[in-house]
Amino acid sequence: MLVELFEPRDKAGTVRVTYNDVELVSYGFLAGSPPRFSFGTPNKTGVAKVFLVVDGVETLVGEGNYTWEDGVLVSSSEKLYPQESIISVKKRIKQLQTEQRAAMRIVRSLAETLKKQLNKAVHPLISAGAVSTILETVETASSAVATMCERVGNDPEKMEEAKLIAFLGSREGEELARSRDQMRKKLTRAIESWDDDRAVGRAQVEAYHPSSLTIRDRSMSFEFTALLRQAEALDHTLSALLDSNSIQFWFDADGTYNFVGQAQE
Amino acid sequence: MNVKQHQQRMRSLYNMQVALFDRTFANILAEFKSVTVAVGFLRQAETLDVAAKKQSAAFLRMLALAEALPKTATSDDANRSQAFIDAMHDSDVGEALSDWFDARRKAEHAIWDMEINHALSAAVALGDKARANPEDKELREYADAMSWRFGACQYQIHALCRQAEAIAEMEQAMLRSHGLKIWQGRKQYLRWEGDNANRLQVAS
Repeated sequence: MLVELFEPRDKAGTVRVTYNDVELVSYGFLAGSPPRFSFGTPNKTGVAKVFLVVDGVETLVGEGNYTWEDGVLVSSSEKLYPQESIISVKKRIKQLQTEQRAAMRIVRSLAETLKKQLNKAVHPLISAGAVSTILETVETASSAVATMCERVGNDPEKMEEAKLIAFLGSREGEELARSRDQMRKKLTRAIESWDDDRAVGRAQVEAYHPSSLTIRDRSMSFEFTALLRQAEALDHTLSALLDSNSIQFWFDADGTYNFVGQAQE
Repeated sequence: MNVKQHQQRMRSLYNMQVALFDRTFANILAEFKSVTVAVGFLRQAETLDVAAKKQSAAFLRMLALAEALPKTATSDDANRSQAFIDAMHDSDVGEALSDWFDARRKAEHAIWDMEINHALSAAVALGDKARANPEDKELREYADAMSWRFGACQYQIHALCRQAEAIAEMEQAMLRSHGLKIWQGRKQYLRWEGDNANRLQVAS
């Protein structure tokens, strides 16, 4: 059996292991080093329990089940007891919403800054229209996802599965999903075409337009890439919001709408 | 909007980007730090965070230099100005720049590593374990709930990578807004546009 604690501990202590509630082995460790040790378990069916002892306080951190038949180990399994409870989904969704709003602010200001620059100087590869399209795309997708999450209550632990499925199967659910999907595809196309053009395009800009564009104007290529990356990051956060709300949908090649839980409808 | 206002605006945007990156990373870490199967991808995210912090620190040193340079008539002249060339021969500046390129390369490598998403493999491992122990209902429920969590987390990890890339692009844009264009040439020599122009003049 291998016992390994990934986090180094703040205080020194002992790891104690029992087998069928009989003391088997114990191992002392120092502060700052993650405890890790292995040993052989008895050749008989039983349950090994691992306790962490720090300052006389004993916590059950894991257990292992071993099944022996005719002197052969036929199966073994481990179980870990999480020591800290994980943040609730509801709270995590709140965090994600804050991250999404912050990302939206950045995308919006980046787009505005770029448009102001484009009013003054012409960039051979970027148009103000392209910048507006990206901003619009991200805004539409954001509002579609926000509406979907709002409809299912932003708290999957309280949401009834039947209600969730009914919403996703409804006309409104499908329309919102479709709008988010189309916007995402549009954004992906913009990113891909820019990334393909970028290497060639930048080289051309630098080679053939050096006098018409100052270095300061050439910074726009980088700003535009930053805008696209930030928009993509925001799109991933939208997906995280949907997943946190237990919403998952996809479209077939012919445009047929599918969602998780569809069969139960 | 004049050049100075533009630079200030970029700076405040940059600060917002860095703050969002920090928040995204801290939230991922806080959510999964007590989940044993998550240790692999958390380490990766930490690697990216460390590289991003070093990159930011080195960049700000570089930006301070750029701000201190005398303003030239056109931004193209900045690279050719004596003050800039002197600065480039200063070992402190060279160090800051090398640190910046180094950290940026490390961050890029961390991002490539993270494209293979270990949040999903953690979910798969947990699911396999639950299927192998069909009588353990508690584990099954835990794996069910966690699969959504890991699903959301893999998107946030991608978001973290894209945010780091956006920050790197913004840094380039900001240096260029000061008229500076610096890159690392073959054998990692530091090169800059004025340097190149001088060389070409000498050659002709």
